[in-house]
Amino acid sequence: MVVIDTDVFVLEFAFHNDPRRDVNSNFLKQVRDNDSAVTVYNLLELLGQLSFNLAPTKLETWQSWLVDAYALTVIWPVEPDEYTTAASYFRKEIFDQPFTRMRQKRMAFLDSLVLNLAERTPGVEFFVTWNAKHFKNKSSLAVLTPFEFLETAS
Amino acid sequence: MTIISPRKPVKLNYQQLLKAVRALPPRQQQELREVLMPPTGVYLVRPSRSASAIRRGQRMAKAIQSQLAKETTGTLEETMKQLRGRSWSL
Repeated sequence: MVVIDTDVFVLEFAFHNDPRRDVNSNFLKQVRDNDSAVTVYNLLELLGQLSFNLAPTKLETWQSWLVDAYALTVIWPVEPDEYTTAASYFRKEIFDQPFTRMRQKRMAFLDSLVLNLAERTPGVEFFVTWNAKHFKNKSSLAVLTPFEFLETAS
Repeated sequence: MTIISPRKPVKLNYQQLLKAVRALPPRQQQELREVLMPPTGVYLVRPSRSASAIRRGQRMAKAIQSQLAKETTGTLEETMKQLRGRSWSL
């Protein structure tokens, strides 16, 4: 089985003038008939990146334009539909909640994970980052730069 | 039942063995996989591989690629640095 990293798909979908594109496409064609895979982390990293450009309805059909089109096996650390506490918790935390946020707010995978956890933590009011502009209107928390936070506090 | 075994053990290289395994029915391939691979604590969700699903998926993938080709700015390196920081490099 060949496990493929996110950058191969980012190149395939988004960077058509990249000098590596032909090799990249040939590689994907070749492994399509063999046993190729992505981890669920790669999948969400890619969906998060593409969420900035794709409509939520298109993003939702990833099973078709990614998994079926490239005949990819998706590797999960747990059985995604298993009805056990651990498996359903993992699916909700790692897949369902970040993917919902990606569709609604256009957001990268790791940003989605971080905000999901921070927002549901009791007592949290602020999320402070030098990249506050990037998070504008994307969180229920007040997102500020350290500079803005100091100004607010003073 | 008589089992005829060759005097010399048959030595297959990786490609030959892979070809032979792929010629087995899916059920036997799965049994072989279970014998050879110990439980790993991972779960594999396989693609459908039906011709119609692949065709539809490829059509959609092409449409998405065309859209992104017009809209994407920057380079792959810049994009991956944003995602992975210093852990991603040429």
